[in-house]
Amino acid sequence: MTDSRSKERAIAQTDYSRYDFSYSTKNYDVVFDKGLSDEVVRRISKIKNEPAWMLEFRLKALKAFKEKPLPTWGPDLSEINFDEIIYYMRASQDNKKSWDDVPADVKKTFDRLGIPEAERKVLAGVEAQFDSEVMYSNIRTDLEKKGVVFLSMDEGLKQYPEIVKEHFGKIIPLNDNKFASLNSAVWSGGSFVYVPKNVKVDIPLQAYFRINAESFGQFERTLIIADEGSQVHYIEGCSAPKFSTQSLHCAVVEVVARPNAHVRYTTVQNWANNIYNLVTKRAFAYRNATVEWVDGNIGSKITQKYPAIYLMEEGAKGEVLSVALAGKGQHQDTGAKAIHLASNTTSTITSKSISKDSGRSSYRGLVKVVRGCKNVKSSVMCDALLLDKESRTDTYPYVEIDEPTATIAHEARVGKIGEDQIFYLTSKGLSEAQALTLIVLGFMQPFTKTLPLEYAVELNRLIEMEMENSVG
Amino acid sequence: MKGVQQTSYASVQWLEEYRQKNQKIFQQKPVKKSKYTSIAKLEELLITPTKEQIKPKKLPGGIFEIITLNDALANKQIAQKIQKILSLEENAKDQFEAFINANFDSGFVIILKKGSHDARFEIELPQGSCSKYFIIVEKGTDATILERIKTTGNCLVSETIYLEENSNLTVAKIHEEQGDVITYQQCIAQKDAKLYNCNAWLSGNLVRANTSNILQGIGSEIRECSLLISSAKEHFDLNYSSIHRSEATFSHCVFKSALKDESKMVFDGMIRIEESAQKANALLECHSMILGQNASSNQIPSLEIKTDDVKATHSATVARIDEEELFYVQSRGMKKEEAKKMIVKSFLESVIYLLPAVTNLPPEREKGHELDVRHILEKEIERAV
Repeated sequence: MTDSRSKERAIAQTDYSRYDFSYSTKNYDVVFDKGLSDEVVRRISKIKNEPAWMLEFRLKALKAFKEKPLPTWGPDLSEINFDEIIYYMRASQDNKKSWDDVPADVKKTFDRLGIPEAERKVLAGVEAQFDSEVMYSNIRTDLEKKGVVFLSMDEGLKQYPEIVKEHFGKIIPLNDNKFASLNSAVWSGGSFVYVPKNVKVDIPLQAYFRINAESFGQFERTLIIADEGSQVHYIEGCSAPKFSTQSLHCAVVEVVARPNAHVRYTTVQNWANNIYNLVTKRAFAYRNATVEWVDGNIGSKITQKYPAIYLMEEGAKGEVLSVALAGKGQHQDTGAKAIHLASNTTSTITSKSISKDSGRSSYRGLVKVVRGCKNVKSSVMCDALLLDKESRTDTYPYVEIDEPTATIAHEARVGKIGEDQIFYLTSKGLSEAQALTLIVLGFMQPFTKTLPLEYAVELNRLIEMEMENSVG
Repeated sequence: MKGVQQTSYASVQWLEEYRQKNQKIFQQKPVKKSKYTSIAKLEELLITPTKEQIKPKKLPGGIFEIITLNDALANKQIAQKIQKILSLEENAKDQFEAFINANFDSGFVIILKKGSHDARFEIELPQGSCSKYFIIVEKGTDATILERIKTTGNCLVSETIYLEENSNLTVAKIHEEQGDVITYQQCIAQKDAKLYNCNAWLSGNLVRANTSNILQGIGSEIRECSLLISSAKEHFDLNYSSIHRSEATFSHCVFKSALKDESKMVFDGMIRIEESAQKANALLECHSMILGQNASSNQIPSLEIKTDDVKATHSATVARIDEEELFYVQSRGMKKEEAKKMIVKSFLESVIYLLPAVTNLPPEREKGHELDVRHILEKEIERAV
């Protein structure tokens, strides 16, 4: 206990302005001009020396992207100018296995973010992406010996072309939605994880995504394959400095959980609040497999993210736990999808959101049970907290049931923090601001509880920072 | 009110502006596509109205007067009220409602005054008709309305119920449509008005319906208690919204549906709390029971909350007949089919018992029980199950 306390204190004392800094891009190896065309896609593919099928895939996706209109529902995305974005840039070639080999500016960045330190302490493997390319990736040697693969997606494509070809773009097709198409066309970086049969990766693997440059689009692509009976927990963290121009982060994450596998995918998203975060995440869960999406959204200007679980075979289980904090000028449009395609499958969705300072949070979800899937059980819980008059919260849960044996429950609550709760805490000697923060942290606890201690503490600290000045 | 007659509605200028506003919305076609219902099929129903007038037929137990829309517009006082009601209505959200508002060519007005108590009527909507009617409940009136809507062909209809200050109203609307129907209902409650609104959907082919309950005045309360029994290949696209515009308003919507055979149901419910509606309290519940192997239920209970000091909750469930309940009832000596019917019936009936018992029946109508809308609804459910 004392140990964890002191750790907590140590982390709480660190300087949290550390997210807001950037280095010049003049030493970069490659910086593309702004704009998107066939030529840009071909150049990216050429730089990466990709097989022909991948180039073809990219070009098809680009065509699909151009044909698709912007979504007519959800937050307003019309301000994004796709011609004013740099689609690829890299600080240096190759990713490194030792921090010492990473270029100085990049290393400094990740040092300030505390990544190498975290790797030593709590992680089984780390990967760090800087703008377009993964600059560093490493995994504990004993796991490597067992056959666990944790590489950048580009490296994965080089070393395991068959596995990649078999799954890449199969879970999220290139024409799934406009932003998945965009990612498929210009993807760069991201992780490739393969866990062999019956291997349990006991401590988390982590990827850290950092945007360093202005007017830039980061398009990482992640593919996780957990083979039969395996277990893995993957954590991604994101941050970026504040720029005057808007940047775009548009990721695609595909997860395959083979029979009896257990995959947990955790996101702690803390983008600067001028970044559009438009992410497509989907997992296929096979017989008796479990997939958990744990999703924390604190930063960004607009986030649109609806992690999906397709329950493909009997006994599969899906769980989504998401929290969102929408502050000034932010719109967190998050949610979850559970598609039941087999009998005896279950899903649980818990969503918690907090809106303050005229921020707006939305839950948009779907539970679907197709005909012939017997005894499906699903439950959805949405809680929303509103901290002031100007904030807004919306809930749009879709429930589509074509099967008489399904049992579905959905519940949502919206409210503000009770005066009696504040009164109770202030009577115990806390200031009003402290009381408010404490209640918000308690509200978020189901989420923070799933994180390794260091992350939980850091997340709490981030929320505390966000909550500062929220009592007038 | 008899036969085809030339409408003179066009001569009223504010009504003409209202029609033009809706015509604009219609042309924009706000609803392009729906995941669940074919919009093209519904648009086919939007044909030039036949000008055939709708004729409400009084049912026993009602004491009220029916005024044709023409006569109502000729009366300055009533016309002013209608103008006010139209300005308080929610703007049409889809092209169907906009079409009715822009093109309706028949209708009537019922005004319930203090002491008029009940309005009980039946309307047989003629094929191809497009109508809009108004029910106005005057200040401080307690009243009950029983409506039976019957159709054999395709038609469009819109109803607006307006509750003035301090009025209490219970509405039981029984829909027994045979054809393809687009039907809209808006209920506007002024300060401290209380409304119980029950829509019972018992049959129909392709039905699109929308109920908007508007809590306009401070302290108004609306309880929507609706149910649906569908069978064969019926398709119901039901939309509901509670719109809180003032402080300390209360809305509660319970919707229950039992889906037989290959019927399909979409329930799109919405609670919207505007910035001006602090201390609002809203609930939205929808529960469906899927009975047919090929029936499907789609529910979208949404919330849009624009201010903080509110309570808003919603819940949705989908389930089948509970095996244990069935076993229990069977163990009491009932046949399986009977037991099933009983469980379904009680599932739906719980909704109508949320409606208040009618206590203000005048002495000359002592057959109180027969006239209780709850009793009437119960019989209808029994028949439909």
